[in-house]
Amino acid sequence: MLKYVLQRIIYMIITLWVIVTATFFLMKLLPGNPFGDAQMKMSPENFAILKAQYGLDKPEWQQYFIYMGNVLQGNFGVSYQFPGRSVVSVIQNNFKASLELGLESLIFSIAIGLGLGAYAALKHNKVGDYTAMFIAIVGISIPSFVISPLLSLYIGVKLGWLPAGLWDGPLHRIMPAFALALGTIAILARMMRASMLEVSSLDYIKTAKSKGLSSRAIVLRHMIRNAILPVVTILGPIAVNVITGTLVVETVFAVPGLGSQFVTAITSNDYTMITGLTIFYAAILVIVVFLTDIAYGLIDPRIRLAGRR
Amino acid sequence: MKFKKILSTAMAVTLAGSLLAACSSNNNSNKGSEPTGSAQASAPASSGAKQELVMNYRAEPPALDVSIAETSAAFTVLGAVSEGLYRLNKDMQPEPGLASALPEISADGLTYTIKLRDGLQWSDGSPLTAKDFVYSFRRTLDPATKATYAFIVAWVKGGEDVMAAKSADDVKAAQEKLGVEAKDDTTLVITLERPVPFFTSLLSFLTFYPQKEDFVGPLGEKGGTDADKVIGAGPFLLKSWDHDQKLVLEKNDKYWDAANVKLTKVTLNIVKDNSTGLNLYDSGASDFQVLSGEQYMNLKGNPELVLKPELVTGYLNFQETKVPAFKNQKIRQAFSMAIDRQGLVDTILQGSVPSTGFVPLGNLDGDSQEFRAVAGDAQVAFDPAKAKELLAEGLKDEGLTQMPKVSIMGDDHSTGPKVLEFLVGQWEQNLGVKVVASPMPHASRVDNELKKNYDIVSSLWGADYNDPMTWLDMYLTGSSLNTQDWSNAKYDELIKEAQTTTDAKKRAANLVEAEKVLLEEAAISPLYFRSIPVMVKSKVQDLIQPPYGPEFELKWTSIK
Amino acid sequence: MEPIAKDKFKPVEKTTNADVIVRPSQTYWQDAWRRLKKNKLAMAGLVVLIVLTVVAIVAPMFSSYDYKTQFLKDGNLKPSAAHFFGTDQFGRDLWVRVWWGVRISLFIGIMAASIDLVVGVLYGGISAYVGGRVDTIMQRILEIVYAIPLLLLAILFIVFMGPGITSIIIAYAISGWVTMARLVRGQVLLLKEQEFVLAARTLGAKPWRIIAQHLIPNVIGLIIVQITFAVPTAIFFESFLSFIGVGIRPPMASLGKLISEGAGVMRYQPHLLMFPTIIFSLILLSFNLLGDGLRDALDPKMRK
Repeated sequence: MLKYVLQRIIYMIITLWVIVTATFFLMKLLPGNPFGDAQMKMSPENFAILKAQYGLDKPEWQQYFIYMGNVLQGNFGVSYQFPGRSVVSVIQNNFKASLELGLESLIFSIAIGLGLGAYAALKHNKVGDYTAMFIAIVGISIPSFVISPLLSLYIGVKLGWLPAGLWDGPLHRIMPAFALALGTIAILARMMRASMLEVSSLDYIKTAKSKGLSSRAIVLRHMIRNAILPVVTILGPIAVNVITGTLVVETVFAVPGLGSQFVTAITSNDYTMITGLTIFYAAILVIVVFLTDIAYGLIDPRIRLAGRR
Repeated sequence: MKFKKILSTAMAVTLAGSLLAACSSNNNSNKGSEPTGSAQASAPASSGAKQELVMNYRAEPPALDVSIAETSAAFTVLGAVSEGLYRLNKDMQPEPGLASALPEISADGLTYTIKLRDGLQWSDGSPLTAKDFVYSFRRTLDPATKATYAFIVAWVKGGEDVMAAKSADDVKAAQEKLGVEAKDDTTLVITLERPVPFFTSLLSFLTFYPQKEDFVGPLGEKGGTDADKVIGAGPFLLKSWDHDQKLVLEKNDKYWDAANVKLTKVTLNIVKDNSTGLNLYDSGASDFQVLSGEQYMNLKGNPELVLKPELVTGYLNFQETKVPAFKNQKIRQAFSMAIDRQGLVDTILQGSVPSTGFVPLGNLDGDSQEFRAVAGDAQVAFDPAKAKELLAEGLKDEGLTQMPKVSIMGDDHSTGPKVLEFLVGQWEQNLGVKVVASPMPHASRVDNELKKNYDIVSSLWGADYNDPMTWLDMYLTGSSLNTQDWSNAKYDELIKEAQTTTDAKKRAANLVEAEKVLLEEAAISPLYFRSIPVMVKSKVQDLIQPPYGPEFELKWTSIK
Repeated sequence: MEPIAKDKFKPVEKTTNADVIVRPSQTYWQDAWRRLKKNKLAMAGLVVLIVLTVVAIVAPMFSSYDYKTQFLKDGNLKPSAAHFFGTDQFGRDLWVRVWWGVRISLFIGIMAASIDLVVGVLYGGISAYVGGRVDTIMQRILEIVYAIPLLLLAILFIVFMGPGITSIIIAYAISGWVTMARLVRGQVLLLKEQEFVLAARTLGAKPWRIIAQHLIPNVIGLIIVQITFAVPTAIFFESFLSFIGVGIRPPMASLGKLISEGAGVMRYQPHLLMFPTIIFSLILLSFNLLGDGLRDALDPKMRK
């Protein structure tokens, strides 16, 4: 086990290194530079001086080694869009909101998704099954950039029940978290339904039934509890998706998160920010996948034997 | 080329969302004579109302550092937190700010002697002296500061030498020779490289603000990145700054004119999407919101709606080397003539005005007249039939049977793609020419433009200082901004003469004449003068919205 | 001990294809189809998709408008007999534009899914079947592709290639195949160790025969289900790209583009948002319902 863990950690480091390198050079393929408008304002000579100040006049391989040296010391450079603010501090500052929003939306999607999935399984192939799954799927069929402004307008302005945007108090969390949850409800509902169906055909459920346990007790104590286990193992990757996929909801509800940073960084050629965020996102993903695998292996030893090497 | 180009800060603005705005021609009749978008008529603030203002703001300001700031977001906040020698009032005239009176200017127009007010203080209570200006100018010019607006300060004598200095020692030596001097604590003398007719009003520009050495120095690159790393001597101080979320300004009691500052607190909530912004405005969570053209159209007639004309022109360039057909004047004219500008403004840019030239409405001519009022309508008029004729003639001149395939490049955010879409439709329907639309991210567009890698490009240009030279010197032969490779000897002569003459009348006449040449040849094709529609709650009094520089001016604002 | 007569033994007739004792695979498909037909939601999804596709092909052909000609005077008209879905701000007929959008969105979805299919199945299949060092290396590469944010790759690619349908398809396909490859690999790895494959191998079946006769039929259900989900995912991804402003070259418009433009004016011109969103959601809903139905129908574990 320890050997396996060590090996995985080494692979993770290699993966991240390849990603940093690839991102670094991919970025240089982007036409233009981080100075967009400044370049128009300045004379070519002064612009060359400015570029030299940022070390962008050096050959790319040299820039790469300087950058890697800094990364190894935990220094991801200073953002070009926000002079003086380090990439790390921007991530620290904005990730809080994205993380909170993601986790809160996960609560919605777990509650609704597992509920719908379990209900669908209990009503297998009946109207209830179809209805529950239909509701779950509707959530992933409407783009979040439609549903979010609709919520903001109708619930925020027309009804005035919740704030139409901003990130000030607990009430401000509800709509964005719900809007973000819609995308994951279907995944969880599907998983839960399949898992429940599988569990319901197992022998111990039959035994429980024949012993005369009430169906309520069977469902609650035996089926749901056992069916949830495999669902838990996919929560990790889902959480990563939710936390990193907050762009639209953040923009619409004016949440100070990390999502929109990524897009503006790419379109404005903020090199340090792009690489910093890519490494950050990639690291979260790789680590969560790793932890999930470990957890999975601990829960179900068969998995570790099959297939993994 | 001595004068470097200033790109509109408003360009950075457009990144945030559909800010490009809109209006139809019927309600802009008074715009020419009244360049300022002042919210409501002045009225004394009643003592009852809470003097607090909540505004939606479209973007997180980058570093609030006087030397480094280059976006209108930074100009706006720093304009409230600090102050220059002068502050532009609602008529865009410089009023003494930290200076006690307008400057004494030497006969050759090169030396400015400025007296500061007595007893000026930074917001931390320490004294502000003429030395803080000297430090500020020197710091901005130091290449290590990486200031993109340094070239404006470089108009001060010896400025170019500081910018070009190679080593730290050279920088220091050049800084010593810089034409800015603190004669005593309250006397500042600035010497220019050559006369700049609008320099007094330029001194109100952010880059000429003072900086406190023992505050800014130790912070280094971290300066202006958090509320506790910003200091000023303006009407407000930056109380808190939650990045990407909100900024809170509070009244600065140490400000010299604190008695006339009525607001006690201003909250700027960062809201990037203007549909959400309007939702917040409607639900009472905000007193100020910028509108999209579509929103403007549907709110027309609302008493809270204000239209703010800017010194910004949207226009097209034709690259003449890459597409030799564009060397032909008739072909350029045909492309320009085939565009229904009124249609463009009615369809996409509601609130803006169809262009009648390159220099926008409200821009002065350097001789205290409005440029457009003197120059009149210099634009080739919309005429599809004539356009077709001209195209046929032009192609015949060039020995071509049909127009070669060309594409038009533009920004892929805000109204950028829609403008491309509109133009492509116009050329196909009015001229029978197929043009491919190529929207791309702003940074790529600018880069391709400067590398002359385009056929037609749709851009925006905005003024930072109120003079036609900011528009016209960019089309001099060989100018780095003349990306289209157009060249005209008469034009060059007119501009060069204007750059050197001290006769303001002649200078203005030359510039009017030069624009005429530029437009008669259809070297460029202006499309519209931009205006921005804004919703402001009627309780907000005297919120000045200048046509260039900062987006709004809070010093005189009050709540009724 | 009584000796056993030699004549009681005789050599078995030599069979060249001993492993051809497989169940006829038709019954599996018949079985699946029977179960799919019973799933009313999935069938509804299938029917809706067929209808939408046919209308998308036919509708623009029989309209007197096209997707690009602008009639500025007729901007933002509400739905009427002349314009079933109204017009947009340029006075273009929304009915035609929406169906063009369906064409483009479906084309993008199907092309992206096809690339997924080819690359993902080959990659996953080879990785699992060959195994050993090759598998390890291929898995490492896959993990790296998986960890690079798709958005970065997509935007980079579109900026680099210029906007357009091809760019979007390739941008999506660059990392879209990963899910398929993982699924196929996992399935093949499981199957490889199963008794019937072992038996076939022991009986001397050639690798291609094992792949064709045993592995593919057992993986194909999974692949079909995955494709059904890959199409809507690609369509959804395209709509997201439209939202952030990269994607189709105007004046062409995908459904995603129409929706993101409509979302900005939903307060004032609700028809510009409503019609494309309804069609878009119908497509996504149908694909997902069909996919779920197929999964239920094709999953051997569900066969009871």
